[in-house]
Amino acid sequence: MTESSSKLDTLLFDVSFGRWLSGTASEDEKIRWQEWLEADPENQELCKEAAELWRLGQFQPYPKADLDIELSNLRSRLSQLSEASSTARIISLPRKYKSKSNGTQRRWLPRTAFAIAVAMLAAIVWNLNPFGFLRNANDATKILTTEYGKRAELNLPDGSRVVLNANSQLTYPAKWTSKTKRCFFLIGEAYFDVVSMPEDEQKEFVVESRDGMIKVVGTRFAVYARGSGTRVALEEGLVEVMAVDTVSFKMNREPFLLKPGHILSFKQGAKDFHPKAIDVLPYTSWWQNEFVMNKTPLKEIVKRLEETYGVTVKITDERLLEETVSGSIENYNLAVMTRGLSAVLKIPVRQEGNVIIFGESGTQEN
Amino acid sequence: MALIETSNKLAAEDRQLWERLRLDDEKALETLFTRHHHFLYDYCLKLARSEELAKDCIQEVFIYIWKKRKDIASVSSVKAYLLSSVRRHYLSMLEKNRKLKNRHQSLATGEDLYAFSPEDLVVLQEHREEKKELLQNAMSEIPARMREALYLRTFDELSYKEIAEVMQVSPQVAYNYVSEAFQRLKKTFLGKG
Repeated sequence: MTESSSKLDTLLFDVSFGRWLSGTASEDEKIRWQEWLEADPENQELCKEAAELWRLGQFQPYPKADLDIELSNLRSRLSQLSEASSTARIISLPRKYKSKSNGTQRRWLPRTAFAIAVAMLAAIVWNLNPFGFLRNANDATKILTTEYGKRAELNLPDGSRVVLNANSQLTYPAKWTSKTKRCFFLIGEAYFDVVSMPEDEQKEFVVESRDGMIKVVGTRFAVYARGSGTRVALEEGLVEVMAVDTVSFKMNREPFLLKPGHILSFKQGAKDFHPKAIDVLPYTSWWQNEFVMNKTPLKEIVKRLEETYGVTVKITDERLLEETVSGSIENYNLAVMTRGLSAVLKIPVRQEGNVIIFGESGTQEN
Repeated sequence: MALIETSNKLAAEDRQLWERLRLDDEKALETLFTRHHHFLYDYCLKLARSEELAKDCIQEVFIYIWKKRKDIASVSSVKAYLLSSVRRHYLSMLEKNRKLKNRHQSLATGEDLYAFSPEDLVVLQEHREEKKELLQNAMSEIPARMREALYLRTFDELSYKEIAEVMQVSPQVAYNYVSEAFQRLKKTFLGKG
């Protein structure tokens, strides 16, 4: 028994035998195993056992990934390495609602107003960045802009990644050399996954908003800089936060050290910082296809929907806005999100043109 | 008994591609990527249970290899080297993401993200309930590392030396893992032991 047991083991560990059982053996191997099988009845017995054990020990393969996509991703990352430039990829967040009215009524800012806003900001940025790359005229920058319902992913040559949420704008260096500071200016919302660098080649990674700047060393965090104030949600690592002075436009305060698992909201000219130790996922999960809520007020979710998809959200019963919601919903598109919310709140949802209405229909009819 | 280790044609081609890639041949890297993606992806999925993570992990490994092509050595088994790189990379990502991961897991729909679960075994797809249960019980009694070693043997057709390389254990330990897993199957189904 022990002898046949060890023979069985030997057989099961023979790579050529394994190939033969799996049907990947070469013609030579097949002939050799066939001859071995016919040579001795004991071999046939052994082979039967081994084949059965081999079959029992098989694992269910997963469906293959789309190799074309994977290969093209690899190629684009390889070309990034050689050109040392970053690539941006736009991801669509489809709005699956059919528009009833003819012509979509997007809440676009008038184009001129938008251009002026950008110009103003650019002017401010020029003055306020003591560390910024924008001050150096030799360093060309690129601007990545996302429309409503789109998200963009920016992969840097060092492996760091930025996911820019819908309706946002990110300014970043056009060329990456070993000396390029990783410096960004953000209007809107973005998630940063920063690769930490070994000490000797450590480079600053700085995100600026009009309220101040966030300096990081290898970390993951989300920055929200829409309207007034900037909010930083830190998942991991450490960041330093500095507010910009409202008069001199300089970062004139001692940096505030934000710890992981904290959220910090601040405005230009802030003298004191008051971080909150709360679940950061509701603020950082949007870049994945899952949106996490943890006692998140409905009004914040409504705001997010409006900012991300460019719709207006109305809630018939306004008291509901103060209610909080917990759980997670799929964040693939507007329809999935609103349907998820509708299920959680147990309120029907409908869309009229560019307006999403939560509430019984009829109560709002004229 | 003619248990000669035939040098496998695919493995030999892999080694040639590896040498070409060390000489800056980007095409060779792509070919290796294409040839091995399925095995690496399946392995990583069984470890990680996340398609995105698995895809990312493989990309990172190939980018790393390309960056370090000047410094890397010849390898006897490219497949084992790649599997072991993917495993190492996954474990380091896991360490990095540990906090977030735990958080996600607790939020997830109670789905157990246990690596190399007994449910991965093909025979479980059979209709015979009795056999399913037997196999499930037999395989859940051994540690995940043994199931992983068994997988590397039967699915990736690695030798125990290669399994040792991938799992970062001694060849003797790798041998014992696989042998023990087969023993378990044998005891359960062939009534011997």
